[in-house]
Amino acid sequence: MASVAPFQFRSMHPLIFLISRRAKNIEELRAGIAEVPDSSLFFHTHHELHQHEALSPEPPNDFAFWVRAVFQDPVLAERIAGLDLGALGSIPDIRRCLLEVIDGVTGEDAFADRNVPRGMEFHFMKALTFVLPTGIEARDLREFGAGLGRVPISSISFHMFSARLQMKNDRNEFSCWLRDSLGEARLAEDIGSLDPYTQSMENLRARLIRLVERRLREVERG
Amino acid sequence: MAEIKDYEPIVGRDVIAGLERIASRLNGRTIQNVNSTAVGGGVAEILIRMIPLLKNLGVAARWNVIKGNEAFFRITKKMHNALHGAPVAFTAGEYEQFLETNRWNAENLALDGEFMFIHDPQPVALVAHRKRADQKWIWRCHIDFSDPDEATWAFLKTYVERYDVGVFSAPSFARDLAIPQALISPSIDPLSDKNRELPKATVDEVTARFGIDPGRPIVTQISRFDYLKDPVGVVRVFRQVRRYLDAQLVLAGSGATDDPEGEKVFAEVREAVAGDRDIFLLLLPPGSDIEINALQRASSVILQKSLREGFGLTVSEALWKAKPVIAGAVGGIPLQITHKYSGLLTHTLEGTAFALKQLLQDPAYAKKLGENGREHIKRNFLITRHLRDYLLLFLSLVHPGENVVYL
Repeated sequence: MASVAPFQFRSMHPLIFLISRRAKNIEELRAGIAEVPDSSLFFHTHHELHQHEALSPEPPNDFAFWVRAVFQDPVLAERIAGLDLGALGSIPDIRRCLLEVIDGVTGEDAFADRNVPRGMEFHFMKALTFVLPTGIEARDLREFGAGLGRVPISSISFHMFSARLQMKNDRNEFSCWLRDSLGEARLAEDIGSLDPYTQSMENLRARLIRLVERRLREVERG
Repeated sequence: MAEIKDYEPIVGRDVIAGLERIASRLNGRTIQNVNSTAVGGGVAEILIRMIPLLKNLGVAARWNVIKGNEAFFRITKKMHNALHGAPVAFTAGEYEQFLETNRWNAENLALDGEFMFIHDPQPVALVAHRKRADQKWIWRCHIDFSDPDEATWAFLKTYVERYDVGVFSAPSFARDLAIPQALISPSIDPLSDKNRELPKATVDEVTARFGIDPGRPIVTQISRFDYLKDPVGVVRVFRQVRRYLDAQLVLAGSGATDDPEGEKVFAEVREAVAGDRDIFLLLLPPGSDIEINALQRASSVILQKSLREGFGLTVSEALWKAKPVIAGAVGGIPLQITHKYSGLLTHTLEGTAFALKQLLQDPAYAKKLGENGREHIKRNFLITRHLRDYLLLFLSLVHPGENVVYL
């Protein structure tokens, strides 16, 4: 049997940078979304997921939070929050959909051109992502399940989101390895079909472990 | 002094292991911190704790304090107020004295660290005396920069832009600068005397020593005696609330060696208090950390009614003790408090009084705010997160222009 390249669990550590761009209304927010670098869009749509590890993230991205809590347009906020990020394969896709949602609502909203008070503007930022080995690796499904339980929570975030969107893989790294190295196509599909955006990272970890354990039981039963 | 492994029971093994891995990638490069005071104020407090922990992680970190005479610190205090938005004017002589003091310190300090980490405006002009081309210079701004006096900022900006990177505490402090600007929140140390768990006997002893009745509600603001912390406003808030509710007010703070204005503010607060026996005005000597810790733990509600704020570490300190906090929505405070979830944010004296009445009359709500606040601080504002951000900042200077860095 050919040897399997082990799965190296890595952790992710963002360092945030301000990019000196602010928005005081929806028009400026839209212009920012259209023009900021990919790393900024990734940051604003994903960092809340990493910061609130134990809580269900609500709202799921900075744009939705600002539109709801500061700009106080609950309809637009809800539509931005409801974007199906898991179905979008790249940052350019996320950018396009955000712009479509804003364009769809601002056309029908007479209040779209009002400004928020000074000091309450949306601040665009970006993150420089550092990726480190955790020292934990897996050569088979059992080790993979054990690793999922031991790795820092940022490792789950990294392999589920960052690798797919920042490194432009077609799917999350767990699914890629399970399919390509272990031939576990169905398990890879099951993991790929999880919605990681509407639960806490710890919930997601628990679900991943349950899927792996279920598959291990199937293998044992033959 | 705490060692890095002592934090493991609080933050978990993963966090400590991550720090060790990141620190190892610095490969022995030296980090030289420079600021303007060895005691008092948030900057000195964090450096006192952080330098030994960096060394503990194998990082060659050291710390120098610049020297200056009274006139220099009067100028830098004025500068501090100007950066907070106060309209002040500097004479050419004042600018010259500021630069001369920086020049003198540059000549008398060995500024030879591979990473020069300069804190706040007082030593900002040291960068003009950069000795080695391969050094990386970092300017760490700890103060609220959202609406600075333009002329003062224009003067400082010529020096700030000579750094390799600027570091700010809150997004609203971002300026138009030609250098990258990192966002790093400061932090508290859960093992310091100011934040560690205290036996009830210690808390009781401290309240008894100051004559505070632990059986009646205690409202506390811990801060330097500084106009920007609005201590007189706190006294007014308390008097509005006391018309309806029984309570005691504790206003406690210590001075800092770089703040000559403190005595004047303290005198004005004393006049406002006017012998009120329910208000405890405590000017604590430097190093009164156990007393501050005990006063926070004895409190029913904690206020931080700042008008301007760099970050407002006292908010994190109070939340770490799971205390309900009412604070001004300025500077870095909204990063620490989500309104109505982990505390209450206010904008006015009247709003603060209203919030205080609410919390004093609804202890269950107050308790929930405090508990949520503690969880938020644990995840985002402890010294271990701060150490990690600084280590990553140093490494970012070794990997310019990259979006993802594999270490």
